[in-house]
Amino acid sequence: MISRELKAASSKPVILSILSKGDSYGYQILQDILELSGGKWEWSEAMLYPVLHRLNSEGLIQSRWEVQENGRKRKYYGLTNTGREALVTEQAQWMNVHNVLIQLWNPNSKLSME
Amino acid sequence: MESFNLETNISNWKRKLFQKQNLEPGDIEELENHLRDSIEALISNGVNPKEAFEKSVAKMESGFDEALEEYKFSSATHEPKSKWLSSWWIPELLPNILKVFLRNLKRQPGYSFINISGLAIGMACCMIIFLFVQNELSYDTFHEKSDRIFRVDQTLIWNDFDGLFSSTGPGVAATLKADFPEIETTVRINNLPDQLITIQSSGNSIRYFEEDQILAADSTFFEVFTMDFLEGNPDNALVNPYSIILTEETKSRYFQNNESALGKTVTIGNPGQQVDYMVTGVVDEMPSNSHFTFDLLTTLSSNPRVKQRENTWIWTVFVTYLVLEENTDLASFQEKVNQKAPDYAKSNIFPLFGDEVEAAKKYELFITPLREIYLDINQAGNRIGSVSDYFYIFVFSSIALIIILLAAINFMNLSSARSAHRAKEVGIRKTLGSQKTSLISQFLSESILFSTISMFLALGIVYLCMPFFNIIAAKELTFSDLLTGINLLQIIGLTLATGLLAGIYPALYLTSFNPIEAFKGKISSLTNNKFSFNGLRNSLVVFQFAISIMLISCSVIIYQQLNFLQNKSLGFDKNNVLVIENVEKLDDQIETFKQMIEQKSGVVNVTKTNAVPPQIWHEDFATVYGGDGNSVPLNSLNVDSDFISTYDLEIVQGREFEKESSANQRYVVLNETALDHLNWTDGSSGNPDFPLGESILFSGLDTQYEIIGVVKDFNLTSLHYNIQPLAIFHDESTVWKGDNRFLSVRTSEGANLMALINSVENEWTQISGGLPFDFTFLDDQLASQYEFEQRVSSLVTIFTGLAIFIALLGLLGLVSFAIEKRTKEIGVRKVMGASSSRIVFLLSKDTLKLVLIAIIISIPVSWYLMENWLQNFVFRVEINPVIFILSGVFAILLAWAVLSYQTIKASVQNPVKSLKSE
Repeated sequence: MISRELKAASSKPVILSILSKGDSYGYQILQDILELSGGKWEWSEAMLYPVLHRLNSEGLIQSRWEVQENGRKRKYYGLTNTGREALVTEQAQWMNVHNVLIQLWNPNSKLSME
Repeated sequence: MESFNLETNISNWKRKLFQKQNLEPGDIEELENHLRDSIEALISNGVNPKEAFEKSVAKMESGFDEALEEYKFSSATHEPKSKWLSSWWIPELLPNILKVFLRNLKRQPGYSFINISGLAIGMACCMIIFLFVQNELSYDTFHEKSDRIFRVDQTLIWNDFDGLFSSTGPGVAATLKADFPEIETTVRINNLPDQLITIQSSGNSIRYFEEDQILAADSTFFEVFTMDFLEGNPDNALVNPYSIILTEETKSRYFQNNESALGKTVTIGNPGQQVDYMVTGVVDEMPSNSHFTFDLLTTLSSNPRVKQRENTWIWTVFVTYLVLEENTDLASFQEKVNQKAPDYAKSNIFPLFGDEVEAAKKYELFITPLREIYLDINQAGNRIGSVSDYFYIFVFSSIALIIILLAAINFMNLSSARSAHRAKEVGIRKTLGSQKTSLISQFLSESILFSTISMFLALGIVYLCMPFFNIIAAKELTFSDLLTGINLLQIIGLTLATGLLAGIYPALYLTSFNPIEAFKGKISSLTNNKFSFNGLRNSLVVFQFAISIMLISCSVIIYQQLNFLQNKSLGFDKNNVLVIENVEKLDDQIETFKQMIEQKSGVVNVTKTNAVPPQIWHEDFATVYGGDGNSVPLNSLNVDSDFISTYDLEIVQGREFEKESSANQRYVVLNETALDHLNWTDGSSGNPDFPLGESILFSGLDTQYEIIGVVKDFNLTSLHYNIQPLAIFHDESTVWKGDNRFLSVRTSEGANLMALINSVENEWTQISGGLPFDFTFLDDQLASQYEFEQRVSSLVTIFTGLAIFIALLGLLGLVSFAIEKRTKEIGVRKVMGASSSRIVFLLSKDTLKLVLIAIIISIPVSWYLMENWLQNFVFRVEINPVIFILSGVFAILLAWAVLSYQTIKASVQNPVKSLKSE
């Protein structure tokens, strides 16, 4: 399981990354995350939609309605150009964190504890 | 076991979401979609629908309420625009609003006509009244020093009036100037009586002009008042005695236009008393919004009498103006003057009049700002020009407000009544994600569009009606006055304000619909079987009718009062009396002229007097001979022995003056009020003919005047005032009688007036050697006293008519709408056997009930207003309650006329047709 805080912190890069692969909608995004995490990340809807809402209002993503074959309307989200730029920044930050942790967790780490 | 219905559960779940504050319909749809995806996935994994639903809902709702907080904050920020998501930013929506507006305009032409024409008439009235009020308030603002110019008024100490005098003695200006350093300059103006002007042109031809707009002023006139000089120099134009300044118009009458008038001679005065004046300047006329005006302006120093009596405080025919230094505080200046006033009175006035005057009234000086003179803020009147009244500005502003309000109410009522037509549109817009704010702005934009169209129409109406208004109001307003920068802004402001006022209620009402119910058509007015008048609409209709009835009864009362003034018995016979003016110009020929007229056919009587009603104003003091010495204010009139018979006065006691008796100069005839004032009413003296044979002393003269007769009171002045005490002296007596003489000619009923006037004019021209002949009819002269009220009355009547028209227009709209809604009901009733008249009664009943309430409300208000107005008149009608009943009946009849057209149409319709409708 992933802690609530970590989920919250990573929600923005995760959603931006998923949408960078192509437009998607709420239910599908949750399914993608579930699948990618091997079932370990289970996001609630109550977590997802507010984030989408916020990203939307920040102008990072945009929404459009599409009518399905069954006549139902579905709200699709896609990245805006600003969103794409934001993703690059996010990537750099997360890679930075990742690199530091990888080095620290390497048994051959040069960092001495003294 | 109860079967599980997935759709029902989903829609119930959705309904719960609708109650959450922060969610927009779009958000809800997205969530619903999500739920369905989730349920479908579970079902395809073999979970039964009920469990799938419960599981999905449980998952979605965990932490749901906290999540909603996010929506609350972010929904206010901008959303990327979707087609169906409208903005509150109107310009972006304008094309759509216009399209919907035009569509509605076309679909409901009658309704649009009522709205637009009502608003246009209302706005046109507003604009005209606005210009009128603006003009009234603009008086005397054009002088450069207008905020520093003041007029000195004084207590009216000479007679019984509680009032102020707008003029003072010639000595006041110099004394004030010497005592108060705050005074920069003073100027005194005196209006001269009508003068005969003689112009000798180059060809030795002599031309005469009768001028009644001549002022005489101090040389400082142009330091105080700003005027444009076409010829001459304002600094020295009035310095020398016998200088005269002409207005451009006067110059064009006297001299050729292309030559300079400077240095030319203008001769003033009757033959034998002529004085030459030299033209020292030509000026533009005073603007029409000046509180006084003149055709000729001469110098006070030309008048030897002014020089002789330079310092007197009791010859109160001079209008004194002050210019105060900049930044002088009026209140503290007035206070300083107040402290000095008793001293002034003690040294300049009381010694001449004695203790009675001192005891009777406190002498005060009032410093009146120039800009308040025209509106007569302290009710002092205006010696050298006309005045208006704040009351009328208040009346007209209120009427403007009322009319625009009535038009706006029509709009509100009709829009909300027609809301059913728009309910579906609102439903669709809401479902598609329109927010309430954007819907409100849409409806407000529509009403502003209505008011904008009306505004352009109103401008057209104002343009067309301006000439008529000017005639009635005696103004010189122009359409272009409306098109100045500030006024245009005001017009735009009026348009927006009207649009908002008219639109805000319908906008709020229409957007309050629940979209689902709107689709189902569950708007209260649709199902309401009544007249679809809800509470607010009812009260608005009542309000409209109350206003209309109030206006009707007020204009009736105003009309009654004016009629009363015109027809009241004045104590003398005002009909068939021709008054020839300026007879003093004939000098010793007057008697000859009078005899000539007496011999003409159609002439009954001729009398020579020094004043004619309504201008008998010679005030002085009298004491009872042998009495306690108290002086009593008394007006005087000088007449010949034909006066009482010519004017048909009723003699109560004694006799009139005998013809050709030298004793006449010692006699006097009093009116009843004079007896009253002299305390001669108790009759306790034992003399059976008392007060005949008693004597009075008049005007400080030693001569005793014996009372030979008493006449019944008659009105000396306009009916605004009480009858004053009057002493009628004979022409040969020594009391002061002023310069003017009038011949009053009583003609027989049906005399050929044209022929008479022509032949009298011929005699005059021969005797006078070509002097201008001036005459009036006594009844015209009397009627002109109420010209101002007459004008106000016509205007009030016109605006009342318009207000009623607008109110009826609104009623027409409401009723036709209500009937349209009840078409089926009417059909059913007819089929069931109701008679047409029964249906008409049924349809009119509710509205007439409202009119009745309006009558009840309007009575006390109009009573109060009119009672207030009638206080202005000493002689007045009493308000007759029948007027209110009649106004109410009139309103009911009008309402019923409007109603019946529609209701009869509805009731005679073939029921089969109406049942087929919809």
